[in-house]
Amino acid sequence: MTRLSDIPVQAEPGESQVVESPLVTAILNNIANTLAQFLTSKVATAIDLRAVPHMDAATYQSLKDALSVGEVSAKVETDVTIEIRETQYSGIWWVTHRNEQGSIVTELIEITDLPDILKSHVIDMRAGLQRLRQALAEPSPP
Amino acid sequence: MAATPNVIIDPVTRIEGHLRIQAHAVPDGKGGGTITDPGLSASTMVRGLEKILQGRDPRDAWAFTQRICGVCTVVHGLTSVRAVEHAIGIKVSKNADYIRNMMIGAQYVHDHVMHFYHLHALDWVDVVSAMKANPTSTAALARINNGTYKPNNGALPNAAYFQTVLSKLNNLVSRGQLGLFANGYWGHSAYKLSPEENLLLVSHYLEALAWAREVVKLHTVFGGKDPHPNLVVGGMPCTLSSNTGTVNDDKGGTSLNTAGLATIKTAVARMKAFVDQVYLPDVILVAKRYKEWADFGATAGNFLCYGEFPDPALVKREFTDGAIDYPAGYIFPRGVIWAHAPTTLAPFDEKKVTENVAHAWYLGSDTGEHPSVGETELYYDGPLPDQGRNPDGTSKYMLDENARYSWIKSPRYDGQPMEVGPLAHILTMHARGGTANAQPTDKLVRGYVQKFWINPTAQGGLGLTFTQLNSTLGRIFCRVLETKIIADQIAGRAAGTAAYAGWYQLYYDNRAGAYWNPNTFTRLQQPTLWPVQVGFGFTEAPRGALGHWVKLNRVSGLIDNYQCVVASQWNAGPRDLDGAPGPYEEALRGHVLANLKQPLEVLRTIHSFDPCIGCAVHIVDPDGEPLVQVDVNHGVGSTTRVSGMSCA
Amino acid sequence: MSTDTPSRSDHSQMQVGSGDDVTFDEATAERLLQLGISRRRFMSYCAGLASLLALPQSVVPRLAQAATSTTLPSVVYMSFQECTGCLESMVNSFAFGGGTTIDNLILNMISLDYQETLMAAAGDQAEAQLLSVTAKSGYVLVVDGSIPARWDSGYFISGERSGVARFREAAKKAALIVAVGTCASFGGLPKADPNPTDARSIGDLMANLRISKPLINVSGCPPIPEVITGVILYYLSKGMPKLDSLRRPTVFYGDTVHEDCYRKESFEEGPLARAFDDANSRKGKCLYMLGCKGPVTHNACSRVRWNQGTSFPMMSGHGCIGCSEPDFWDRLNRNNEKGFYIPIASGSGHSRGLPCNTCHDDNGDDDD
Repeated sequence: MTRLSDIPVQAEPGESQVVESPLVTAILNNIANTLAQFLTSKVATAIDLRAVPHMDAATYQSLKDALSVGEVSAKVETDVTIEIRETQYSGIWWVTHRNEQGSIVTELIEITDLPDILKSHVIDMRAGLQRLRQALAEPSPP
Repeated sequence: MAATPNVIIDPVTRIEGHLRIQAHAVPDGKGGGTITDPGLSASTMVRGLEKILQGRDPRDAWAFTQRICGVCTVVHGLTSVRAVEHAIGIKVSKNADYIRNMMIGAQYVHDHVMHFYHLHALDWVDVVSAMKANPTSTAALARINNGTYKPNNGALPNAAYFQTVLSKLNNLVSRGQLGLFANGYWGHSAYKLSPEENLLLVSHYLEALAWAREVVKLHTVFGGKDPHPNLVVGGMPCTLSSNTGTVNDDKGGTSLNTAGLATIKTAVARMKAFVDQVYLPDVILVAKRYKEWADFGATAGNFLCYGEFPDPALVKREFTDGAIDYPAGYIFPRGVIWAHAPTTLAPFDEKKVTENVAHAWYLGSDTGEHPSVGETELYYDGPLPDQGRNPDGTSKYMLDENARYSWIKSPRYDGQPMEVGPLAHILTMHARGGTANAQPTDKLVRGYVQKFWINPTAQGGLGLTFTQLNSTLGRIFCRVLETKIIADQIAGRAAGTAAYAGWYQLYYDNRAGAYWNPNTFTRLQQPTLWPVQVGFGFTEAPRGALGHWVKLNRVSGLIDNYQCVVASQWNAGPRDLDGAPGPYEEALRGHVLANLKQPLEVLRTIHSFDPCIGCAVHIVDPDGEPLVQVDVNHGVGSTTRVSGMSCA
Repeated sequence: MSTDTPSRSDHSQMQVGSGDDVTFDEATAERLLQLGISRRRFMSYCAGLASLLALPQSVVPRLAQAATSTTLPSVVYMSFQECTGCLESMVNSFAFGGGTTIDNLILNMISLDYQETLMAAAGDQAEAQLLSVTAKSGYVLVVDGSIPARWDSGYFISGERSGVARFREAAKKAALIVAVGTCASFGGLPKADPNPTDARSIGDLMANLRISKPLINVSGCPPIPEVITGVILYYLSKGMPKLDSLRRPTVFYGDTVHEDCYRKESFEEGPLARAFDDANSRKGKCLYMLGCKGPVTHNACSRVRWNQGTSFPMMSGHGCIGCSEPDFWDRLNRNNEKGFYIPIASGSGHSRGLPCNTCHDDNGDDDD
């Protein structure tokens, strides 16, 4: 593997042969254990795909295929893009951080009820409230 | 020394390298004074690179000389590659010349923008004053000055935008960590911009930092990294990818795939946009407020240009001839401007270049010799450092204009000190523009000089004279002007403005063509085919005329001797044996300082040259053997001199 | 090892999802708001940085805290026998385009209190600034360029002081010294044969001057921007990184550039590129025959890539010149020849089935 961005993200139709990979099984087991822990401890965990050894393009794809997609999909758009996709297993999220050019910078599997990046921060909410009140106080534009 | 220097700047900051300036100002009794004699410019660091090059493989020389300077990171490497190609008689492909033009060109645009905002602006822009700006008025100013520049998520900057910049500055102050802005000459009486103008320029200072890292990606795609992208003798090391898609283990390929070419195209568009929308209008804005600086900072009025940016379209047959053989097509002409005839391009004769070490810390010729015959050794006999100050605060370390005082040698042309760089480029283009050999870009230059510089203020110009270009302000103006010419040459120009497809598009159309001459490495083992004794390579770097001379050993094939005479050496060099000052030194004469302890006015003029001192300091090999037949026309076997070139 | 971590403010909320269910504490979020940087944009940056530094994602809040602390860590950046390429590289590091304005590390993450190429102050006022910031302790001293061994040689004088004196004074109260670039790390180009100015690396000079301070070498000519800033942020949030025997952080210099190079397969199995611009070059085959020093060069170029992942030397068709290794300018290759286009001798490097100590001692010792 050279870089995450080199790995094709989408399986081309007809090419998605699920590879029986011991690595994929190991990762899935790890995820399952982590999810079980979360249910008791509420401590969220993120698995950095870059840190997974021996992750080649085929392994990556089989992992992605195995987790598949669930109901929720969200996107954070600033100058960069962050895609948050729930997998078919509730509580397991596939999070992709892309740079300005659209290449993948970081890819994580997060085990949590809701990835933190989606939550609003109380500080931002207070600032938002202030702005909203300001807007309401000002006369409406002609 | 006529009088004890009372204006000393050491270190001169916001430059590349290590420079000390000394001058004497006649005090005015109110803390200020006037500099009536030339100053003293001294480089205080040396590495000895040319000595290191002896006995090396000539193919490696570019990597060594590239490290002369990480700011002018492309030009030293390319000059070296051209010198070796000249020595062994190798022509490069049309694509290699397009790519080299784009790489030098991108270097100009990147360097000049960063020079203006990050190295020079704080001499004109008072950051503390910016904090008093009204954000709404600043937004109104931005609309007028930079009406097409939309950094605010694709919209024009509004009051909230400038409020954020203000908060940022306030943050620095409130936590007492001014960082890079600490201890400037803030509040100095010579700062004249309004708070809003100051804030606008500070916001562009910040934006230019982010812009800069995007445009260097052109170097990264072609050269693999920046700073210090890779080059190769015989062409370019990069080549078109066999795979247009993503480069990976399975599919291989190179950086010149669809994504890489798109990156270059984007970088080219960003260069052009920033120059047109931000850099050019900002320079004009500053110039309007500081017009009196067209009366300070003149050099003796002699200018030199080796010529640069060949037209690759003139390559007739790949590897048989090359654009570098056709100075007629150069954007910047090769030639000399003399003070007595500022609109006439005189021919350049390479044999009239000399260097002397009368006031430099080397043993060697005091009288001045061609760079190819100089014999010099490091010889420091200056004052010792680390002696502290005298009880009255004055320096114990003082350089003496009558002794050796710099690590820079004094190059001269026909015995005269010459200014090189943007002012030389614009004046030579302007001069050629009045001849039968005028290039379309020369005519554009003449038009821009008229429109922005000479036209009366009622017509939106500065109302200054042509002669006043030789000044601190003129240097800044010429720098932005040449940046525009080059950015447009890369990106292309539409009809009505000397239509041109642009180097990027012309390269793109020819991208499947050759990148490297396959005879290059074998030719290095065939000395009988080498056309000249000494290879000469030149470029016009962003700071001016840059020449490398390489002498190869015909038995070992390795480097016997290697020498560089570079841009900042011309400008920053010390006095010669006759006591004639170098351009920096001469330019300080006549400066009026409001406060001798805060010599802001001196910094303005020194910075207007864009000092690059790492470049200027190097040593010549003590070979002693004459290096003959330096052929500046770069043609195989040719000893044609420049008299045949395209100047009046 | 982890020594000399400067005392930093509250690190309590380090664990993802702990406490009040926010990754960033209020102070961090408040700072980001003030700076006009989108919190989510910044989280994404920190996630990428943690990934790059091979740190667990749970460190993200701590990285964010280090990067947005109200009292920014003071960095004193001094230049000696250098070319300014290292600074240019650092300036090319990340910037944020989130929110309304863009700027970068230099204004947001550190207080760059002395840097001659960028600072507003000049002359005596610059010297006064240097004295004032180095009078306090705990700053990070970043150095680029080698330093001539003799103070009285005249080969380096700035502000009327020799390189030796300037460095010695600035090192006194530094918490950490980072030698940026191969000149500062190993002597680099000025030290190349015949070393005309008797140039020394920072480590060697420290030994001569008996200066005992934590030292990190961030080699490369220049180093990759993300590596420079990554090392500084690592230190600020986690303390001293693990170093190799040449005092380089193993997270960036643990592997050779060959190990992560997409052209590696053809090194083992062929075909090799034999000339620039030949068919195999266009296909991206191994540049070993064109002199690539990748197998003996420890750096992150092929993994992190240059200029925000745009390319790296081999991707752009030129072999590695080995610029992050000591004395790479004088490296002997096949037939004992120096040269960037001479193939390395067979038997060199990791990929020839030999242990790493054929090119360097990788046992983690930190003696120079």
